[in-house]
Amino acid sequence: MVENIKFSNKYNFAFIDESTKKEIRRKLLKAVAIPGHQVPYSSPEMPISRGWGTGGLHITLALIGRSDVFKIIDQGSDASVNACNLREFVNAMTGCETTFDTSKATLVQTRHRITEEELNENQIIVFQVPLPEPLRMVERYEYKTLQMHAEADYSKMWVSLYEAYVRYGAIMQGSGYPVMVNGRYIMSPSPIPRWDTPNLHQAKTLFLFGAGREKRLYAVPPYTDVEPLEFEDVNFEIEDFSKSACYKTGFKKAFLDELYADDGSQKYVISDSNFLDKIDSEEETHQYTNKYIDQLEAYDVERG
Amino acid sequence: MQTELNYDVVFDAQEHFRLLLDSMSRPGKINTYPLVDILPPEGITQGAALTGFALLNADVSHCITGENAGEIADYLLINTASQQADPSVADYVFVPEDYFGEELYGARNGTATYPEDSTTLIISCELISDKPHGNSRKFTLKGPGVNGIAEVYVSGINADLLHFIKDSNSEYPLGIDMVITDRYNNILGIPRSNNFSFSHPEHFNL
Repeated sequence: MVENIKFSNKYNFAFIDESTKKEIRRKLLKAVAIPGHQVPYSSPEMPISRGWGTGGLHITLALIGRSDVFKIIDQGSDASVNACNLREFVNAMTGCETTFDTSKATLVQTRHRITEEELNENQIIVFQVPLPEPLRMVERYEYKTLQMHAEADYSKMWVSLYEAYVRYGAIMQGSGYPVMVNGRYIMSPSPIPRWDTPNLHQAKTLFLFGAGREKRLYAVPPYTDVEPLEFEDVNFEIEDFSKSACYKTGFKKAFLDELYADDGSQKYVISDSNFLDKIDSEEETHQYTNKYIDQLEAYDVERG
Repeated sequence: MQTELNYDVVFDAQEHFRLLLDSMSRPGKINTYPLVDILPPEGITQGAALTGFALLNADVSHCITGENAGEIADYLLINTASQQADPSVADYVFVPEDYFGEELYGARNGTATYPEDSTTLIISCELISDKPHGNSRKFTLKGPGVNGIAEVYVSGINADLLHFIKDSNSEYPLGIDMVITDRYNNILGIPRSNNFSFSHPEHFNL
């Protein structure tokens, strides 16, 4: 009987029904064709609340196939609550193999970090984005930001960066630093630290961004120009860890998390958990390089 | 006519979409659909039909240009539930080998606020290859997704069609995206962000 076939599995493969998957897939192709442009999409119901990684999950589930190896990180960590729950969910809905090893994954989902290890041509990384609109902090109305993007009128954005400099002596944006994609759209790279921002530029990997609550998705194809906004005389800078080192490994050339103990003392640890494990067990790793990290290499960035 | 029984709407569609996404994000890279036992009517290649199967459903419309349009439209309707529409309305327009027609001038290239609201052309051609071959045009591709410059050789594609697409893409981000498929299931994606140029067909001695 038809019902027996239809209901023999509790859920469709990858949870989302095929019709909605197709809609997300069509929008993804358009997003890739217009790098940095936010494409509205359906953002279907998920068994988690919107704003808890549904955007990333939609993209992952629309992409994933039986042979994929899935990795998911939250702020660099494989073990945080959000990552663990979404990993279990994807695994339960697809039966796909999951991994902690960055180099073994074919599909990586992330919240607020890019892996410390460089991703290659055969990997896709999907971001969970809370606020896709970089202009929201200078313009509250959606119809106006749409207009501003349409006309590439980013003067308000530049003024806000200038004002931050005048007030505080620096551009204050710590994470989610606005970037110009392909010389056309200003894009929010999701709240990744400044350390990761230059890694979007001319990368080998396809970057996909999903904002479930805001119902937007966008993309940065590989080998695309992604430039952080900066002035001629006030330049973009990344975090400087020259005066701190990972307490476990002594490593400096990675994004470090700050840990506070009960007595108020402070120490640092490598934020990317898989990278930390690899450094700790002295496995071979292949890190991203960019001109900002190269600049920092003036100081001793290796161990100790 | 009946639905294709050997096409898996879950796993074949997923596999083909991943190849499409790869092609779209890396213009100049030639991907190949694995063989699927389907029998599309005359006038549409298996590659074009599979691209349609991967993307179309009742929410979007398509338009068939060239010969045997009625039968192909029925075939896509039965397999994907997508209805045929005017070229000026359709979301996906299928173009046969070496074809260009007046009706394509109406194809949508989006609006300033919603540039993604545009047509995707699914173009059939004779052969896509990384080597020059008989009557092939040399495509030189530059832009997002291409590491420097990519070169690819395509035969059986109309020059007027390519000029029309270049015109439509001149006001980027407005534009039309292309998926080119050949008789051997190869696919090539050229999004609007790509600044491509093409040569006259050349007779290469093989």
